[in-house]
Amino acid sequence: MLSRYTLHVARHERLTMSYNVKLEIFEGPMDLLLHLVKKEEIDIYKISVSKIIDEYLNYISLMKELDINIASEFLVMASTLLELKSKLILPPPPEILRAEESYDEDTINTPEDLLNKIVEYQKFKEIGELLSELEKTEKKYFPRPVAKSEEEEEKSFSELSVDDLVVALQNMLKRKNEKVKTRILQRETVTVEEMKSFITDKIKSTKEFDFLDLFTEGTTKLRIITGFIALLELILEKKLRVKQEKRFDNIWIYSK
Amino acid sequence: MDLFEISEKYSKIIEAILFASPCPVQISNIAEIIEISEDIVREILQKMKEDYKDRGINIREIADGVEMCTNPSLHNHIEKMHKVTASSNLSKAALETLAIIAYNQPITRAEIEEIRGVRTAKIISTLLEGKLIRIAGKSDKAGRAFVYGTTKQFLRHFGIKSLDELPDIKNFK
Repeated sequence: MLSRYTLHVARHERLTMSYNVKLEIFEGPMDLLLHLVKKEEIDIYKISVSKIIDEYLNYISLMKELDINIASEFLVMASTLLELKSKLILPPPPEILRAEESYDEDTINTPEDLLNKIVEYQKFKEIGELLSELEKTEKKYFPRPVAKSEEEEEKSFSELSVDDLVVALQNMLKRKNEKVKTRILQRETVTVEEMKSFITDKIKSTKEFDFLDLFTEGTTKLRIITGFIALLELILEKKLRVKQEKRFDNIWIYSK
Repeated sequence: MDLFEISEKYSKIIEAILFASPCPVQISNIAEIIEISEDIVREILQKMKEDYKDRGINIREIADGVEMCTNPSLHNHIEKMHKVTASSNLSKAALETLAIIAYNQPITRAEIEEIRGVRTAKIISTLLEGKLIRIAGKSDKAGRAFVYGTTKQFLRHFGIKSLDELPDIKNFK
């Protein structure tokens, strides 16, 4: 954390012995102010604000002397406090002027503002400590562990049966057997237009057929792809209808 | 069936529901599943909590729901099994920030920093990551800054049923 400090000042002595000066760690300017107020050990509203301001400024200059990077927050608070202190020293402005003074709710204008802010901060610091206690107690309870992918939607395979598996295996074996055929490659030329008329012709004779029926055994990839593009175009032109029960299932083609 | 048998039957169902759930189950949800009134669920749960008290597993209400968890007195054994030692707790600064958010939500980052007097952006992003707080919307004021609020995870982290369980802020002088 930027605003936490531990001070280590090493001074080299004759026997290269060193010692450390440690300052307390403060979470921020409010924490430091609260610490200074608490040191006084009296009712917070009876405290001398100017004394607290002096101590705060002393602390900041001590930090400077020890050559630490003072976080800007500490310096912002220091300047706010200096402004407040100057107001305390100067005689109060005449009534008329005071009314004209711009008043910002969030800034510290009076000693009461400062003390109220410290008191408010103290409340939440105390509640923070209470939360820490609750956290420690809670660590002793172990609920049922949550599955790692609780948020990810788990894929359900429950709908598949052994039969589906057998069919899948048979299809695979069939394809595997088909593969073992050697032949001389010829550049095949088939156009989308050709495939389109081929499909429309087929649909005239057969009212309903599977997409794969369009092809004979040992057909080429090019032909299937062209056939598929032709099919898509025909769908777009509303020349026929298609139906597919689920993904990777057969595509059934119907006449319009 | 007499009253005892009915209550036995329902406790059995509730026990199964709690066991099978990965997170706290709302009482209204249990009532819906068994198709009985929430009051009856509450009554049976009360008795179950009592029955479970001295066992390895307890039943407790947390974060707007009911869950099964290990008996807190056995924590050292469970820690040994999980091979954890006092796992990382939240930092003082994080707890302070959480306290401010819990009591003032929805609240903007600037308002939090106003109270703490320190920049809080990094802590807020850590808390968001840990799902202890969430972005609860945007401020109506100029700038339309994000406003933050606590989450269910916050309740679970501190083992409380609802925000009402936190002490009244007026009790802090």
